Amino acid sequence: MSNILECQSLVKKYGLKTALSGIDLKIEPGHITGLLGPNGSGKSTLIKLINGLLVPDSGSIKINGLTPGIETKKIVSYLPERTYLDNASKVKDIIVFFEDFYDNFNKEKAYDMLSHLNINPNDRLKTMSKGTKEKVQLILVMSRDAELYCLDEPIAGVDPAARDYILNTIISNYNENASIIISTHLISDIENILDDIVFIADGKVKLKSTVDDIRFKEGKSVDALFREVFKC
Amino acid sequence: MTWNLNSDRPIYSQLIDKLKMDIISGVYNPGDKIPSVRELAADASVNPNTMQKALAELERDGLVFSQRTSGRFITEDKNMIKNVKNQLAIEQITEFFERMNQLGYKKEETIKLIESALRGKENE
Amino acid sequence: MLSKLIKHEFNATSKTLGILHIALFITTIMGIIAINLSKNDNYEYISSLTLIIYVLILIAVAVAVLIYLVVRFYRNLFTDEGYLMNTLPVKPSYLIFSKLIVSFVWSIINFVCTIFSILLLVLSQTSIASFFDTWNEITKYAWNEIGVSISSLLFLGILGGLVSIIYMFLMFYTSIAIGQTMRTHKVLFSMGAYVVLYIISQIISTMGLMPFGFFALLQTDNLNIETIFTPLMLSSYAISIALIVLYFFITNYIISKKLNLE
Repeated sequence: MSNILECQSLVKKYGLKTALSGIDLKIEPGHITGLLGPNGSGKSTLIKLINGLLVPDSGSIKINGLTPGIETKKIVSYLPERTYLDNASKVKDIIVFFEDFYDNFNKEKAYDMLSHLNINPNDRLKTMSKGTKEKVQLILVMSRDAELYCLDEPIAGVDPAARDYILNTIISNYNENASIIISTHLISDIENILDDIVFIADGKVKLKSTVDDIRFKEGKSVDALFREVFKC
Repeated sequence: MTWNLNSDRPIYSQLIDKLKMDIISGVYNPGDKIPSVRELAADASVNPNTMQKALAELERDGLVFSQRTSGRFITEDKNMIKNVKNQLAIEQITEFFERMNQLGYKKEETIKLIESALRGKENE
Repeated sequence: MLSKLIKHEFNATSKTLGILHIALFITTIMGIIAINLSKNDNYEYISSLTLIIYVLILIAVAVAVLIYLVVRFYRNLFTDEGYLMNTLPVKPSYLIFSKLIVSFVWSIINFVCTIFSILLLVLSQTSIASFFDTWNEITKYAWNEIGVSISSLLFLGILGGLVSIIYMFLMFYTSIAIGQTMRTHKVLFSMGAYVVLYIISQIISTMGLMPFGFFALLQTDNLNIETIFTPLMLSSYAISIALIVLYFFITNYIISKKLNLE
C-alpha cells in the first residue's frame, strides 16, 4: 500500500520568498497526523499543495501515489480554515451540492450529525453563529468517505464544548483506511488524538515522530516540546 | 468515566493504568464485555490506534481476551486480577516508602507514623 | 459534471437576477402608464420624466446583470468560496465553461426581456399595421442601401451579438484571473489587465481587418459595399472567436497552475 502522502524535495516559492525549501515527508495510511508549526512555517502552503490549489516549483508531492488533480480531489476531503460555503445558501442545499460532486458523500451520515447538534437543515448559513458554521463545515467534510481528511485549524475560534464535539467526531469517524492530517496551533487540545506529529518551520520538516515517543523520550508533552523548539 | 490523562507521560501507558484500575476496582467485572476500541477512544478522547495499543498489551498480559466476532472481554481468572491488584498495591507502597525516605524517614519511623496516624483516626 | 456545475450556477444566480428582471417588468408597466399619460397635456412633464426613468432603469438592469455575473466569477472562484470550487473533482475548464454558459444565457434573457419591454411600449401606442409598415420600410432600406436582405442582416446581427456577449464576459474573466495572481491590489491589476487586453485585441482586430481596407481601396471606382459587408462582418467575428479561444486558454491556465487563494 502506498503512502497516503509522499513529498520529495518539495519546493514552493512566492516570488522571491521561499515558503517550502525542500520538504521530504512520508505519511503512512491509517494515521492521524498533526502538522504543527509557527505562523509562516509553510503549513498552509503544504496543505494547499496537497489539495491541488498550488503547483510545486520543484520536487514532487503524491497523494496515494497520484499527482494532485481530479483523481486526488475525489479522495481528499478538505476543511479549510475559513468559511468556504455560500453564506446565503441553506444547509440542505449545500448537502445536495456535496452529493452531486462527491460520489463518496454520505447524506444520511450528514443529516444524522446535524440532528445530533440540533442544526436545522433549512436554516441559512448566514443566520448561524461562527461556531455552528464551523460545525456544519466539519460535518460535511467528515461525511465524505475519503482516504485523506485534511483539516486546517478545525478547532480554532470555537468554544471548548464545541471543540470536544469536533474532536469526538474526528475520533469516531476515523477508520483504518482513512488518514487524517490536522494542522493546528492548539496542540495541547489535540495531542491525545494524534498518532504522529510533524514539526515544520522555515519551510522544512524539523521533526517527525509519534506523540508517545516524544513523551517517552523527552518526558514532556508535544505542546511543551513545541514551545521549547520554537521559542521566540 | 474520567480518564485524567496528564500530558508528560505516554498516553498508551496511562490508558493501560486506567483500564487496570477499572478492572481491579470492579468497574468491569470478570467476564464482562468491554466497549469497542472506537467507543473507548471516543470516551477518553484519544486516538483509536493508541487505545488499540493499550488493549493489545492488556491482552498480552492476559487481563483481557478477544473473541473474534463478539469483541473483547475481561478475563474470568479472578486470581490473575488479584495478582494485578496486589502488584499495584506493592507499587504504591514502594513509591510511598521512597517518598518518605526522601523526606528523611527511615522504614521503622515510617511504620510508627502510620500506626499513630491510624490510632488517631480511630479515636476521632 | 459540467451539467451539475451549470445547474448549481443557475440556482445560485437566479434569485438576484430574477429580482432584477421582476423590477424590469414593473418598470415596463410604469413605462406603459407613462406613455399613455403623455397624451394628456396635463401630465406631459411627469410622463416625460417617467419615460426617462424607464430608459435609465432598463440600462441599469442590463448593467447590473453584467456586473453581478462578473463579480460572481471573482467571488466564487477566487475568494473564500474558491476553496470549495477549486477542490471539486472537476476540470478547471468546466468551472469557466459553466460560468460562461450561465452568464450567456442570463444575458440573452435580459436582452429578450428588454426588447420585449420596449416592444410592449411601442405596441401600446401604434397599431400592429403601422408597425409592420415601418418594418417593411426598414427592410427595403436595408436591401437598397447596403445590399443585404433583412434576414441576413438579422442573422449577422444576432451572430455578432452572441459572439460579443461571450467575448465580453471572457475578457472580464481573463482580466480577473490575471489580476488575482498578484499578491496585493488584485482588483487594480484586474482593471489594468483589462485595459491591456483591450489594447491588444484592438491591435489584433485592426490588423486582421486591414485586408478589407486594401480591398476597398483597390475598388475605388466600383466601390460596392455589398461585396464587402458580409465578409467583413464574418471576418471580424472570426477574429473575435479566435480571441475568445485565446482568452479561454489563458484563464484556464491561470486557474490550473497559478491560483492564488489567500
